[in-house]
Amino acid sequence: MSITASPATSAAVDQAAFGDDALDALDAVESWLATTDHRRLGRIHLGVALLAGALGAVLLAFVGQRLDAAARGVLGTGSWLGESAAAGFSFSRVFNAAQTGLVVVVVVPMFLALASIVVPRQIGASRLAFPRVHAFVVWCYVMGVALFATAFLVRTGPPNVDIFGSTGTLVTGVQANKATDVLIASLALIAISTLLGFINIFTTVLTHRRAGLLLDLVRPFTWASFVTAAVSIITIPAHLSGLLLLYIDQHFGGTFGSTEGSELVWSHLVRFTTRPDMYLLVIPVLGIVGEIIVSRTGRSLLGGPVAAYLVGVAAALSLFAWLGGGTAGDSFLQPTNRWFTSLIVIPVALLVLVWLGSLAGGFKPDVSLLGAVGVPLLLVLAAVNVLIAAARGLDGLSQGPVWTISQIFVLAIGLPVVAGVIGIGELAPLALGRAIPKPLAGLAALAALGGAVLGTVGLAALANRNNPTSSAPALSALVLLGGLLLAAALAMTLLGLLSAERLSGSNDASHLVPFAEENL
Amino acid sequence: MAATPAPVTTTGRATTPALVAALAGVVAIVMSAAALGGAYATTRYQIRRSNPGESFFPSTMTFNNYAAFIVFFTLILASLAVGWGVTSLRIGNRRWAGAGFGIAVLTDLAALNIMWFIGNGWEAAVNALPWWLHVYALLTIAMIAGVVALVSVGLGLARVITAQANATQPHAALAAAWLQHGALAVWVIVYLLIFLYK
Repeated sequence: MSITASPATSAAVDQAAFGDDALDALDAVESWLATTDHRRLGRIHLGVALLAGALGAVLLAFVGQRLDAAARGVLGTGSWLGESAAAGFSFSRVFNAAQTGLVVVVVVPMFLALASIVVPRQIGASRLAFPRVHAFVVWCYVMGVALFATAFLVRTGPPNVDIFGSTGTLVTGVQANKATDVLIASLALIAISTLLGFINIFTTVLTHRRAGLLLDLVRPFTWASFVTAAVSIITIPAHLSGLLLLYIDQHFGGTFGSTEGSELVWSHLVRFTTRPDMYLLVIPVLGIVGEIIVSRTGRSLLGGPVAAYLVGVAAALSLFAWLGGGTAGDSFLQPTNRWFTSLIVIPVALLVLVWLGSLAGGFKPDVSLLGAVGVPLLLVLAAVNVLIAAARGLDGLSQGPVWTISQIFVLAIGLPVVAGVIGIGELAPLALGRAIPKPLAGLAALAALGGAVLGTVGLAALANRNNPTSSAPALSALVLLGGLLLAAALAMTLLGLLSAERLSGSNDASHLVPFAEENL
Repeated sequence: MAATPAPVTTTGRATTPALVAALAGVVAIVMSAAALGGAYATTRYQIRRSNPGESFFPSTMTFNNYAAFIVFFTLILASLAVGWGVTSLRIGNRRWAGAGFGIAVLTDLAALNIMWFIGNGWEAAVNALPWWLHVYALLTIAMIAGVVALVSVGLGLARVITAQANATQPHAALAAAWLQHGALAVWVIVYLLIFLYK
């Protein structure tokens, strides 16, 4: 390529230096990095979450299938949660990474990403209330994910923090290792990103609805996102405070792990299963199922605004988690749970009846209806697991840690992943500008549902064996298969996302439309 | 913080994204302080219940709350100044509005400086007593709230100076004022717990 005799512009010089292809590639990268378009940012957010989810599910599958060996003391130092050496990729380290990662790094951001793309479009807005803040949210999340992975890969020893466990792993009187610092920092970054993202969604729904669209008339997914955002504005800051307390304590060799009352503080501010955030995972799931039913029946949900009220009540009841007495046993995910932490079951059960009633009037068959079937099925599985544990008098803390893992698997991982995968397939035309190919979406939905069911059944059967220390290779294989199917579902959804992106990319000029307003 | 004419919804009210987000931010930051306050009160109660003879508060320490009261007083001044600024903006007097926001920026800086001075003056290790852990965390959250207020009021001042905030568009300035009041609310929690609730 030659430079003409006319005065050389900087563009021409660049073109001469790099060539057309390289410049195009640079422009493309720059347009992605500097974009404030909520759809583009949402796709980055969603893509990173799905990739992390697929990796996390593979990890969980391989570690989870060894639970029965761990229970027999084959792994670790007698206790399946025991951490032996200071360094090395031990059982509990990988398990902690997979479990925490799937819930905090994957499930919550997946819903936030989907909401950030879909909500503005469902309320007739061209953008989120604060586009630049949203760009910060996404890149802050990406940084948090990178730090999270680093915390489990550095060779200074495993992090001393397990947000699903107790204060027992915290160090006292000495400075914690670097991995602990990095893990707390990554959790804080992701929490800050999630909080700002939800404030943005909350503000967008309140202030950017099109004329005539009252708040109680918005679509089920938008309503669920709004309600989740409202409660998250109260709950996430409390968690951030817990992380601040924890960081100061662990970094400066504090006293938290050995102080009277620290378990109470830990359970309200840090431990995931005893905070309202655990229950809030279910709310977007309810919105996605409602959305699918409305789409496939062509009508509003039975009872008009009743469904919306039930979602609101469920979200409000999630705050009851804070009323717990401060032990892990009070958690909804334990067979010893308290009645007030279980109240959320009532609106969710009523909502399932509303869904069934709405479907009874006729519907258009579609693969997305697997979500409407699968979500109630998983809820029933979790309820049956509770009833069996109650009948057997299982104590979740001393006898049934595997039982607890089975409930975490079904309610905090399986249920949201099934709803997320099917929801992304359902909302893809709105989110991506193009539908995910039906066979791919169908396979992903089937894999997600199958994985969640098989994994739950395998784990619950492992937990309810008459002899907990006996070998059960068939059940372990079931858990492995369940985890791998979930990973496959997330990977297929990522593939669908990329394929839709590639197909619509050349025609998608949304990122070129500048926002007229000067705005955060 | 939008500076452009806000869209109008069905109810005819002018929507104010900046104000909604600022109020959500105030709720979030006050909730952070309240959570740490709850942790402080819980730990204090549990330690006293389990060990009746043991003091949660470091008994050998002489604690002067003069500097803490000055922070309280300074933040009240900042809140009043920013309130004056917003009122002036609404009646169209940009000069007074600028003065109000400018004074608020200076008083915020002063408050942050005194908080830093208080923290440095303690010179206690975090692991000396559980009390110190909670106190350092509470002071940190108060400083974070102070920095948020300083930045938002500073941005508000810039908008007033450049006329992006004016009598018809006071929302960004009002949002900054709310965040300033949030910083005061956080310090009230910290002040009550650390310096008065012994």
